[in-house]
Order: sequence, then C-alpha cells, then structure tokens
Amino acid sequence: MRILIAEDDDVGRFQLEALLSKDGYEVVTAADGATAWQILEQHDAPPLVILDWVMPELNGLEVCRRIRESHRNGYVYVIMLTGKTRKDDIVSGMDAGADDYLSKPVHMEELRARLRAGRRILALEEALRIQATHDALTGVLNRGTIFELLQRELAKAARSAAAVGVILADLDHFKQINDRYGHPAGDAVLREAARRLKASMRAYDAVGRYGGEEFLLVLPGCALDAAIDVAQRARRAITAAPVSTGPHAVEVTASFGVATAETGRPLDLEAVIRVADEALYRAKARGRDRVESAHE
Amino acid sequence: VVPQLQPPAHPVFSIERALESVEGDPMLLKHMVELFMRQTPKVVAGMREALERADAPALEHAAHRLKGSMSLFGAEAACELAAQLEDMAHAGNLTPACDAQARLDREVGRLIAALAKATDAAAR
Repeated sequence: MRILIAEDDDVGRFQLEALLSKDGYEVVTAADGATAWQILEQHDAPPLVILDWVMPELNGLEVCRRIRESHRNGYVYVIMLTGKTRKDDIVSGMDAGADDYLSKPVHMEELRARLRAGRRILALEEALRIQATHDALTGVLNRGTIFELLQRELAKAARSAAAVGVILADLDHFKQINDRYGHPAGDAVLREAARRLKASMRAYDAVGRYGGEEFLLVLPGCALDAAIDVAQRARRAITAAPVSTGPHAVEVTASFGVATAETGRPLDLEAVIRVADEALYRAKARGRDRVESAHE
Repeated sequence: VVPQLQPPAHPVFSIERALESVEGDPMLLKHMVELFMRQTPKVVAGMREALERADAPALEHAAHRLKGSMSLFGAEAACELAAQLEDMAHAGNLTPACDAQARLDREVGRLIAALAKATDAAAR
C-alpha cells in the first residue's frame, strides 16, 4: 500500500520512511506541505497520509483541510503528527478532517496499530464504493455509473475531437430462459454473459448493466468500424459455448446495436443511446444473434 | 552486592531510546545520526538569525523542528531547552530567548559530540 509521509524534519522523516518501507509500504515523502499537496493532487495519490502538524509553506492542518475539500475518488486516511500536546491543537486538527493523531517522538508499534485501523477504514470505504457503483448480480458497473462514465467520455471526446463507441447488448429470448430453467439459471446466464462481454473488450473499455438483460458498453477512442468489430467479437463470445447453470447447459445468444459519437455524429448522451437502441431493434427484427449499427 | 556505575547528572542522549527509534537497526541509526549532523547546524543558524530579526514564528518553527529530531535520540535536556524556546517564541516573549538559545547551543554541541563518539565507537 502507498503511504505519504510529510515531515520537514529530515531525521524523523527518514525514520518513518525506513521503518515503514521495511513493513512493505510503498513510501512517498515530502519535506514541506506544498510538496505534500502536489503529491496528493495527482491521480494516483496515496490513500494513507502521515502529516506533520508544523511544516513550512503549508502546515499539516491546511493540507488536511484541502484533502477534505477536494473531490477525488476514494477516501484519504490522514494521521497527524503533533509535537505539542495542547488540547486546542488536537481539536482543530480533528476539525480540519484528520482521522487520527500521534504525538512525537513516534512510537512505531502505536503507529502500526493506527495504520492498521486506517487500512480497515479504507477497505470498508472501498467495499462501499464498489457496492454503490456496481451491479450486485453481475459485478459490472450499475446503470447510474455507466451513464456517468459515458457522459464523461462524451465530454472528453467533444474536447479532443475523438470518438466514443457505444454498444447496447441484449440477451435474446431471456424471458424464455427464466421460464424454462428458473430464475437462478437466468441469474447465472446474466453473470456469465457479463463476464464474456468484459473479456471481449479492451482494458479501458467499460461495461454496465443497462436494464434487466441489457448491457451498455462504452469504448473510448473507438470509431464506428472498430466498435462494430468489438460488438462482433462480443457476439461470438456470448454464443461460443453454452452457459452451464449447474444442471443445464443453456444456449445463449445476444443482439447488438452499435453507435458512435464522433465528429459529424450526435454527441449528446440521449442521442447516441437512441441511435444504438434503434440499431439494436433492427438486430432483433432481422433475426437476433447479430450486430447492427448506425450505418443503415 | 553488585557495584553500580553512577549515571552522569545529565545524560546527553539515550542510546536505548535512540536504538528504540530505529527498532534496533544500527545501520539506520548511523544514517539518522548523519542526517542529524547535516541538518542541525542549518537549523541552529536559522534560530539565531530568527532571534536577531526578532522573528518569533520562524524561531518557534525551527525550535520545534530541532526538538522533533533530538527527541528521536532521547536527548531530554536539549529537547527541554528547545521546548522552552518554542514556548517563548509562541508567546512572543523573546527577551529571555537569547539566554535560552545560548544554553541550547551548548547542549546541542554536546549532543553532536556524543552522537559522533557513539557512532564512531560502533563503527570500530
């Protein structure tokens, strides 16, 4: 786990860096508050932070306040180091958003115990965040999150004149699967279909559950032909082998509607979803287990 | 009855406390002492300059930093002097600070000498 140590005393900073590195932490250090804040503003900022109270440029309190004011993904757990024991310091530190504090000189076993407590909080926060953003059954993004992601990608694409591929995938005759094999089997089919969709996409593509048996795939930087290729690959992945639901092997197919937002094509979310939905409708009407796109 | 050595009135630092700071790793302690030797003259010089400028916040900050590093070696007397200076500066009371600074300078000098001696001895 990555941890930031912000401490202006070279000796104390080295002590913590050396001992926490021995513990297996990936340690990043800062000798003043401004440097610490620069590190924390980066995309891959460490989730654990040890902040010395008194630092030049920007003190620990101010860095802590800024952490809490900024809206980044994931919680940052902050332990403040205090050389003083004045009560008002502790109160103002906790009010600034510190999670915990420790007085100097640092007692390592105590610091370790407090870091363990911090990691428990971070793990809990991570679990909650995943629960809030993912579909519980299939593990792919939930509807709200995939929409937000698409919205973000569309805005990014509009700025850089890049393309975004959008695919709607709908399992064929899913109601019959449920009726014939039961809902647990239907759930297993949904889970496996989501897994196969994900496996046929690139690492930076995203998939979310759009509705009951419908999935939304977002492909950043993907123009129409490339998006059609991805949809064809996904279609083949879905039909490649029957889905085993325990007692049954269920044949599954899906239909795909492909659209893109790019220069000359609609760029707002509703429009691109509508085009993909119309293409999906054509794929269903023309016999299912096929890919249709905004071309026609 | 085992005869016991009389401890000095004011031990300059505590080797037990210093080793505890590095969890018994002598190489880490050696490096920490080197860092202390490199940092401290600058910090002490900064304190004297702050005193001359009557810059209480700068003095408070430097005293605080010095106190933090010395506490890792269990240098209690020096830490106490630094804490006094920090408090004086915090209160904006610089009149007695010159005297305290002189005492701190002496104690820091003793500490540096003692740490150098201890690490030399360990290196041999």
